[in-house]
Amino acid sequence: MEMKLRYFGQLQEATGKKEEVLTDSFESLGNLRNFLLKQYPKLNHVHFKMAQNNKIDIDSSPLSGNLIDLLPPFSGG
Amino acid sequence: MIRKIKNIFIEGAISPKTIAESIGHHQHKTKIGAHNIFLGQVRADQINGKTISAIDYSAQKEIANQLCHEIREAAFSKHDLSCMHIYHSLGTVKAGEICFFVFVSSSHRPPVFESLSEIVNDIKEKLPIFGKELFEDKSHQWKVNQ
Repeated sequence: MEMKLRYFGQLQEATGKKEEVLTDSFESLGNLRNFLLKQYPKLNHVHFKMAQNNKIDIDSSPLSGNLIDLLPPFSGG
Repeated sequence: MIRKIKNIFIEGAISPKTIAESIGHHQHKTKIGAHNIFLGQVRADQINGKTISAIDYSAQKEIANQLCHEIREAAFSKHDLSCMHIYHSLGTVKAGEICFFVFVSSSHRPPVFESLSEIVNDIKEKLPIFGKELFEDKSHQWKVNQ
């Protein structure tokens, strides 16, 4: 399955990318997180939440979305 | 009552004129007896001898608007509010300018006093908005909410 990953805020600096397309398959969001932490070691220094198909989701959820967003700590206002 | 999801984002600073006009729009709503307004302003903080000149905001807009809608609906069910307006900046907002505007109205004052801080705190905590603090020397750091 093809999925688009989007990196927000400081995660764009940690990965050097705004977005990318992955074709690997992952059982859960947590599996994808572990893959990305190895791919981009700088991600280990930032806390981030993940969302699939525009909903923030927990790591144990099955990966079913084709749009995945990585969201660093929120700092609105 | 089902309300549709609104877009809270405004490109750049929220001007005093926008805020004044928003207040003016309520003059015909004569059942309102109390307004309460929160305005977030960009601070020129000094960090290690460098001064913040602006904040560059970005957001995951779909999620932010959806979560803001839920915060809005929860506030309407909990408090006796007549109306509520929420705006947040995207892009660059200079120190001294307004980046966040929450405006609640009701017949009487208790609902507006009680609801406003809840709404502001919820938005700051739950919405995926990211502030990049720009220093005068063009370096930057990522904003952390207190």
